[in-house]
Amino acid sequence: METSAPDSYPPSLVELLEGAFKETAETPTSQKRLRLASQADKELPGIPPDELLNDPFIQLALNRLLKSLKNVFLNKVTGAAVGVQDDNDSCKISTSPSEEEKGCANQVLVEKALVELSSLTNYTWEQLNIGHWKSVPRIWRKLYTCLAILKVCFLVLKRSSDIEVIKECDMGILMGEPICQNVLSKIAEEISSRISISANPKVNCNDNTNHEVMTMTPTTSEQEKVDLVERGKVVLKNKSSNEFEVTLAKKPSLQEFLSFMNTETPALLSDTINHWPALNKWNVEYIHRVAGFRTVPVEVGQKYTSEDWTQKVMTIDEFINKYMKPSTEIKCPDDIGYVAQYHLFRQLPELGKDIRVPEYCTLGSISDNENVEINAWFGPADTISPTHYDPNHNILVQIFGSKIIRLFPPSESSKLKPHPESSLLFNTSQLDVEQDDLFVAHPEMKNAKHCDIILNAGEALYIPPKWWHYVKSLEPSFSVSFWFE
Amino acid sequence: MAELYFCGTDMYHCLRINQKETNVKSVFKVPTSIQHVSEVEFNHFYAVYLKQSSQNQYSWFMNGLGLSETQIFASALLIKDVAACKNSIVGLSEDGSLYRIKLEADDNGELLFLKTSEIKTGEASSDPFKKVVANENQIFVLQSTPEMSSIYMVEDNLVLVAQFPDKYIVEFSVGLGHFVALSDTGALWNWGHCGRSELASSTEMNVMTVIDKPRRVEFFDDLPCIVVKVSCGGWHTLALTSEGDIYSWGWNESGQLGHNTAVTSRSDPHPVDLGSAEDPVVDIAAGSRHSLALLKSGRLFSWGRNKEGQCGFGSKDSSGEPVEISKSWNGTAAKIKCGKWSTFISVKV
Repeated sequence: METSAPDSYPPSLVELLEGAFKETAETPTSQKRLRLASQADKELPGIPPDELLNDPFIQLALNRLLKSLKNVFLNKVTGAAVGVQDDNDSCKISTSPSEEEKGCANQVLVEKALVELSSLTNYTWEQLNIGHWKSVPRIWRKLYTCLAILKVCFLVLKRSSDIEVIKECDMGILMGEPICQNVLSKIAEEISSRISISANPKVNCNDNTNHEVMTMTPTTSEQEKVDLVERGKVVLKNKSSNEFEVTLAKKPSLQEFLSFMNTETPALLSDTINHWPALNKWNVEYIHRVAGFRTVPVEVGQKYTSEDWTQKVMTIDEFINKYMKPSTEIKCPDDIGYVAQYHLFRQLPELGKDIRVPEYCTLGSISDNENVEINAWFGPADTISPTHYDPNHNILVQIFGSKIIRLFPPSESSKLKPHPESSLLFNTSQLDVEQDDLFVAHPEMKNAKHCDIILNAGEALYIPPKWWHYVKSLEPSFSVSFWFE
Repeated sequence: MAELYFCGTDMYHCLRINQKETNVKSVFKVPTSIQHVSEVEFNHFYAVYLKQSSQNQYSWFMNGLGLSETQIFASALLIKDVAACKNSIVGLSEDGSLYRIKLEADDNGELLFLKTSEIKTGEASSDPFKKVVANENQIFVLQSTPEMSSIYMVEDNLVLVAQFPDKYIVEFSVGLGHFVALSDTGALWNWGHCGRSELASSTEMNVMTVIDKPRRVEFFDDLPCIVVKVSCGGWHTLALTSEGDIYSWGWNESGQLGHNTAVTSRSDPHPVDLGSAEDPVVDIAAGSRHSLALLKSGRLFSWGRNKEGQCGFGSKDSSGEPVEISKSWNGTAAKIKCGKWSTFISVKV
């Protein structure tokens, strides 16, 4: 799943950190600590490279933190005298400190470092929020991850809970860059494999029954399909006079699929992902169980084009409890949360093991799985992706739940009134296809060529490049998209 | 005689505030070693302050991470106004010239060097500079006459940011990505990033868009009063009117707009519910994600982020609506100012 190029960064710190966590739930052994300390001292300052020269105070602060990390390690191991620099500290240490005094001094250093790290993280977070994410200099994201690595080191010294360490790793992963060979992801995976079963006993209790039900009906039944089609008609009105049927393809050969690509023909593929473990394994409860305490970004608000749309960071447990609980009340847009277009499998490789990159992706101009961008789309019913297009080939796979999709060929672009080319939303239509008076306000839409597709669990939809698509979930849903050139 | 009070964090002892004390009190007096301070700029890593002494009116000092109290700018330069960002400090002298101190760490990131130089005004006209203003990353200077106002970014040279022909800009404030300018007639302009509704009445919500030319804010034209002061937080703006009301707009991530709403951002200016006609607001100040108002009676209200204690509440909880800061000083609050995550209250004794 990992797509980023290997870092030129020497691996020793990574190995040491991993080793430290692999051993047991205990803190690393003394010898490993010593090695980790000297490596951290040598290598971490290299993480935020020369770009930080512009920021003398952050450089100073990082250097000091590394020094105290080293001090804490060394003091424990060699019993060298502890010099607490700050006159404000309650723990004054004599030149020949007892073990107890050393422990106290170390504790103070660790606490101080964690407070300082959280303010530096806050500082960096503010920098990350100046303008658009994509225009923020990469150095701030690298720095964010660097601070998270330091925090994890200090949290381990503090013997913090696994959950706390994992949360820190996740924040470093999703806000930062995979520096240091994505060490945070490795640490988090290691810890989560240790604690996943016991982390959420409440969910485990009623999981068995649900899991069984899902195993017995991995795909949608015929009757359910008919019902969904009927619902789809109600959900998606404004059908034009120019509707066409999507091409159906049962397990197409590579040759057949290539012809869809060459002729830019969308196709609904069945029987193509039957071998995915995810299909029989995943449901809301399963995701909750294996990843409940992992932190992910959540889009809040019905559509990314809405004014009140926002992104929040929360654990999957919080997300499921807040947004995926069945509710009889009519939802207001604020109540819609969506883990959308997120590289979840980079963060959670253990989930990534349950899916496969479709063979069809090798038909792209760069026939290399490394160049396939894989995103997860996990959310309740009624999540909406407004009409937009993507520049690449897209295979959208439905793992559980169902979605309704309206496709428009690129030839209908002018009718769909895209946002201006200069704007970030240039690939998004300004029209709302669900708008009641759509045909009154935009009469040309009355004969816009389109097709409506219901995508059920176990099915996949091939969307050619530049084809416009509007996507709405009909029930709690998990989809995976594969973008390739 | 004035005393300086502070709330927020002083992690690097820039103000010599005892960390132990910050855990007990929410607003505390700045220690006497830094008293007689009439101006202060504080951006988390270091503070720059003007100490008044009988011999000389303009003795500037800096103190902070990796530094002990250091005098900066020779007294002879008569520096009256200072702005500080992450890697430089710019001083404006009485005669309107600009001096800059560049802050650099050595190769190991250990030692700080201070290099002072005079800024060549180059292309800029010979009109006097009025005011220096900074956000964390950059420093700006306002040059204005009734015929022409200009705003420059101060680097090794001056870089023109905006120009206002025939306008007399009297106030200028800058957020982390947006700018607000106010003219002598109460007309308001804003420009910069708008993805978090930083720009008033802007229909653009696109996070990628940057409005690079000042755009007139027409909202206040219909009000029976004019804007007399503006203050930018990181992503929000406060405007004080001649009636003593505050309007705010921008990002509301921590409740910094003070509208008591869950809305995460708004570009339509909206009044903050505070005080009354008998006790109008006389001064405003905005930090990175918090806001402050001083009423005529000397009462103080704050709202927004308080995780660092910058709002001066008893708890560390943020507030989406104004809360009065309980008075822990003798005398009357006369001046307010916000640092990044901090608040300064100047009290007349």
